[in-house]
Amino acid sequence: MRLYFNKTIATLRLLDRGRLHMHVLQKLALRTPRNATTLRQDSEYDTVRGVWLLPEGSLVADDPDEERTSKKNDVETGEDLKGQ
Amino acid sequence: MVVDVLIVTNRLDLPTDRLCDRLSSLGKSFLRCNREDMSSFAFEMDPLEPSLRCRFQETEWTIDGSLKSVWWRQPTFRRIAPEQLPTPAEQLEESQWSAFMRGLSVFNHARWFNSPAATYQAESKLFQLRIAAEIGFDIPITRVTNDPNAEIDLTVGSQIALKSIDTVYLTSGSFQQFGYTQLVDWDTCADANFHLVPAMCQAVVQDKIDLRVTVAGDQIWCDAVLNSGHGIDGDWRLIKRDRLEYRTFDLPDQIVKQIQLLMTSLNLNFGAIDLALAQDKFWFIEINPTGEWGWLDRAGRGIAEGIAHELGH
Repeated sequence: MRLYFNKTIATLRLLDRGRLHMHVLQKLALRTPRNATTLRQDSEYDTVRGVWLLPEGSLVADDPDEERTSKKNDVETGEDLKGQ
Repeated sequence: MVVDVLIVTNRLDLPTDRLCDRLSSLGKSFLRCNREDMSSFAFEMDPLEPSLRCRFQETEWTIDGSLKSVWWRQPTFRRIAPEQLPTPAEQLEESQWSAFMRGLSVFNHARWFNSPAATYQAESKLFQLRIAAEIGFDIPITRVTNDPNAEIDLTVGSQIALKSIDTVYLTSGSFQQFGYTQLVDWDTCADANFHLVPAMCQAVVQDKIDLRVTVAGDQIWCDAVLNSGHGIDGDWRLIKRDRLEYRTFDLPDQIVKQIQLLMTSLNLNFGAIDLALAQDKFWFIEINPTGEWGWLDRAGRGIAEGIAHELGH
């Protein structure tokens, strides 16, 4: 129990030390779970037409239920491909 | 088929799906190359002519001197460190396909939206501020510093808009961190670690309405970004999405002229510009050469159609 307590304190101290050396830009950056942009399982990419299609043949990009027409509507990763 | 429009992007760029669809409707031929799919195409380029033959299954495209335009949506900077060191094969694949895609600049007679070189320069926030100032835009007082002893409270103000000078997108394990503009007191941010990286300190634009201007060639769309009908203090991206509304906004002719001059000065044919309307002035905030536009292309807005028209023009 005492060993566990000591380990926890040591970990917290390490975390504190990390934060102590953190720039304000890093401190204030919003932290969120990372999730990959995905599309509906039943959508299919047409290489020649350059579009993702739903089973009924309409565009995924024009589907009002599909909000991921842009990363702005998904996880905020900045402007297109800025994070790449 | 002979290609009118070359599109270089990635598979998940859904707004570009709409462009492809609208180009088809306009009867324009195009080739969409996604970064992830490059090796599934068979390419043969003559860089001297220049010409490019591309084959995918039964379909063949030819790009030659008749190419009208290039829609280029590739990253200029690498900002994410890979979680695992790429294998030698992955490193080779990355370096050589990236070089091939950059090499498409042999089609320099076409109209690029935008050329990688122009994007590279315009992505510098400091450079674009300088050019915007030269053109005559109103710009909030700005200092870039890593000096915690700088007299920012005297030059900029005791409360500042703290910004990064490049996108802050940090990843660690299953988490990501994204940097937004933050309104902070200079005294509290100028701490012992402030010297570690440079940061931008800007005067706070009070009582503003955020304007997003999307420019493609000769076409301009402007939207006011509001929260329940009102302007937003600080960074609007921190407001919950379902509370945001976008309203069409008519820019004065003088501002449209300045925007056109800015685009010309930066050698850009596409840009997403952030302005702030406050105290009867249109403050220039920044321009994103690869800015997103799909989120503003609501029914009847016609952005996809407009860009497709510009590309096929």
